[in-house]
Amino acid sequence: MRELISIPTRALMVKEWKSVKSKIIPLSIGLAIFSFLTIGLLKALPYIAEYMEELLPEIDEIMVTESFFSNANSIISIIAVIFCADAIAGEREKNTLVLIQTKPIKPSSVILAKLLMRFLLISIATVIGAIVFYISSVLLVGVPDPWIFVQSLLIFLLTLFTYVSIGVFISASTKTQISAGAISAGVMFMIVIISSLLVFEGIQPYNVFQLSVNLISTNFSTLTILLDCLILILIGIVITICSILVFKKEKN
Amino acid sequence: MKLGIRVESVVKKFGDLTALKTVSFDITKPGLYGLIGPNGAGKTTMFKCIAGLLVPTSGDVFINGGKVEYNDLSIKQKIGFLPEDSGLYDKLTAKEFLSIMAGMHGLSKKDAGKKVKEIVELVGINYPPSKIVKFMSSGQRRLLSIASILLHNPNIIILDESLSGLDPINREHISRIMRELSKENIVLFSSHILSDIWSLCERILILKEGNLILDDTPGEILSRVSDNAYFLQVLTDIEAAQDVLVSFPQVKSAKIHGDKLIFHLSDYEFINEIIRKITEKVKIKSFGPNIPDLDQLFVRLVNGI
Repeated sequence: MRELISIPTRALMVKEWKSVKSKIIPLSIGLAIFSFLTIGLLKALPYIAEYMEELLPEIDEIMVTESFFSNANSIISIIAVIFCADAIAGEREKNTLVLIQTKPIKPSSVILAKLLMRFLLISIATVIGAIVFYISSVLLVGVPDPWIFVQSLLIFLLTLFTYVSIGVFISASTKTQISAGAISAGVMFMIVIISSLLVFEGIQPYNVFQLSVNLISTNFSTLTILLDCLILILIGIVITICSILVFKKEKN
Repeated sequence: MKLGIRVESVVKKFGDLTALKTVSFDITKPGLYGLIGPNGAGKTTMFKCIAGLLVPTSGDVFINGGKVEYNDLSIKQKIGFLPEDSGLYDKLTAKEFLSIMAGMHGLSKKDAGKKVKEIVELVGINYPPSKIVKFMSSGQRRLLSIASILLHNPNIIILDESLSGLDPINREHISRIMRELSKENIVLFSSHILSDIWSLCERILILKEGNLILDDTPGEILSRVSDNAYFLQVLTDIEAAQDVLVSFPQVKSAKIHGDKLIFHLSDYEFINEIIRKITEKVKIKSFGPNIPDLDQLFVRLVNGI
């Protein structure tokens, strides 16, 4: 692996990790609290408003797991994309991008190093949040199916990869971190809203951005799941190639 | 290896704006070379084209005899380029920053450690390596930036406005580093402050509105702008000295300005004879070409000689 990545790219990855790692603790704590609250609020609802007890179906592990992934899909994805706003636009704003441009590093390596380090950070925080959720569910509601849970988590991480690639693309295309953040939030808001509104049964198998949520209560064939994962990866790769092209174009 | 920079008919356009208009020059030996020009003259664009950060719209750049191909990363190993107002990674310590910069140039961890020590000594960084960049003064940051572009032993060093915004002590310190580096390397640097370049460079290039309007040695440039005017200061009778001067037909005019006698010569060859005659009558305190101050000179140079 070390031989696959050149020394300059490795150094850039170290630099990227050093610049993002300070966010790992607050982000993990935030996601852990969010995970706990997902269950806590559902458990507390009937006590907060007694009439809701009759309206709400019985809270079980499937319901809370679905709720966790649904909330994660809306909130963590927006955080992930906004978090990428500094990737290129932030460096451009602070005049540090030129430090990278004067080094013998390919534009593709620059984009990949930035994307991978941010994806790694978001993934670590998400996994910590998921572990907290799982333990909370075991203690308060019931044991979620570990296979479905892990499957949904892995697919959610794949979705996050696509979201992070969108964030890096927006960052590479904009001049300032604030504009990158604002555009990212807008784009993600639209993706999340549109994909969560596509509730029609016939569309569900093709709703790749909601796959991690729908997987919990719906039975999809293995082929459908693999195909959806492939589509997610392809979207991520295409957007990453676009980011590289945009970054390369700066020379002209 | 043939050391040198050759810029051949480089044009750089940004949309409708032409930042460089068919610029050509050639630098073939180690030394200090200055690029001056007013703000917006195209200095930074020129440097970015040489360093491979911008692709010229037309024309070619040759580094050490090889044509710069803009997808070829090896060019970046030959050049150490410090852009104007280049930022630094504020959260890192000085040592971390230099190690990462060395790594980005392909030095292994072990080699990077050695090289960082060597460069820190060369540049004269005297603050602790654990000092965080964010808490450094502008002089310390500039030294760190300079150190970071020397880690890969470039033989062409390009410094864009590296002396601006520094106090005299730091300017002198960085000038000394530049002189040291120019013994074996080509050091090309820009400034819009003529005094920075005048005292350091063996050749000066002047850019104005994207055109290279002058490329010469400071001495030659001076002789063009001094109009064969000289000044004379005497310890005794200045009017007596004036009388001697006007007696020579080669002296076009001789006027007293304060404690100086300013005169114009039509033929420089008679200067020794003139001075000998004056010393017979009065004691000379100082004598030399009458140079306008450097700010005036800068304005005259960029507005046409």
